[in-house]
Amino acid sequence: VSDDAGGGGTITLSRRAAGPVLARVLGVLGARAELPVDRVSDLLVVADLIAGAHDDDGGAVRVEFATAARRVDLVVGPLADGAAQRLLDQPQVAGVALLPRLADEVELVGGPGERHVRLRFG
Amino acid sequence: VTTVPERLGLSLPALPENVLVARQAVTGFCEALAFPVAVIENVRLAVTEACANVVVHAYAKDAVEHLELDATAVPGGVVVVVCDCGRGVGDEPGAGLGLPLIDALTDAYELEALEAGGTRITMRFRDDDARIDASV
Repeated sequence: VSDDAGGGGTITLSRRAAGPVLARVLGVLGARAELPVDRVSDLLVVADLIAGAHDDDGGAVRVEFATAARRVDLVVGPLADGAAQRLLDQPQVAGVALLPRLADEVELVGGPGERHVRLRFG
Repeated sequence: VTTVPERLGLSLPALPENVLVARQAVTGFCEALAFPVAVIENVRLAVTEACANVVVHAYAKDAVEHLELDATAVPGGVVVVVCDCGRGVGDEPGAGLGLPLIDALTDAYELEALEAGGTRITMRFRDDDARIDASV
């Protein structure tokens, strides 16, 4: 995650709360970074994708974040292999996975059982 | 069957803009738990006050350190802990309304000076207890 004066941070939360919390937090980060409103909307969709990718098995959702001028960076994980793949591949619209279309950069890093997905917006 | 507690953890630099991040995060957390709107208003206002206290009072000027927030659902409510590793509660001038407001908004609260330095405030809210209806 890139560094910035506005401050990066980490959020850890249970699966049930992930969607509502991440939508609010990512919305704030997008506005802080002065992203265009359509990109802020993209972040709100991504919040739901992150929440939906996690199994409802009691595991925690963890997201590191940082903002800079017109840029938001996220690192999601650690993720189980299945969750990382779901985040990258699902859901699809007209056969196209959403996340790679919404983010400007998507990178899967880490080894089995310790996957992280790096995302850049802007 | 093991019941996993609903939990939110935040680690943020103690900067003014991050008070809003904490406020929004805890609001979303309480909404996910389906708390009454009036209780959510109390929680987020109290959290805003606690986090603002960290930003304004905990650290020396120009020293950007961390603010930690932990919210956990408990039977009948939620417990929110806000802590810092700063210089503790001092005699700095202020409006003096923060803690009385937190007292009014919470079911109970506890302010502790940490041995390693810093301050922790633990705030308890009952989900049936709208102490101040901030929506009015």
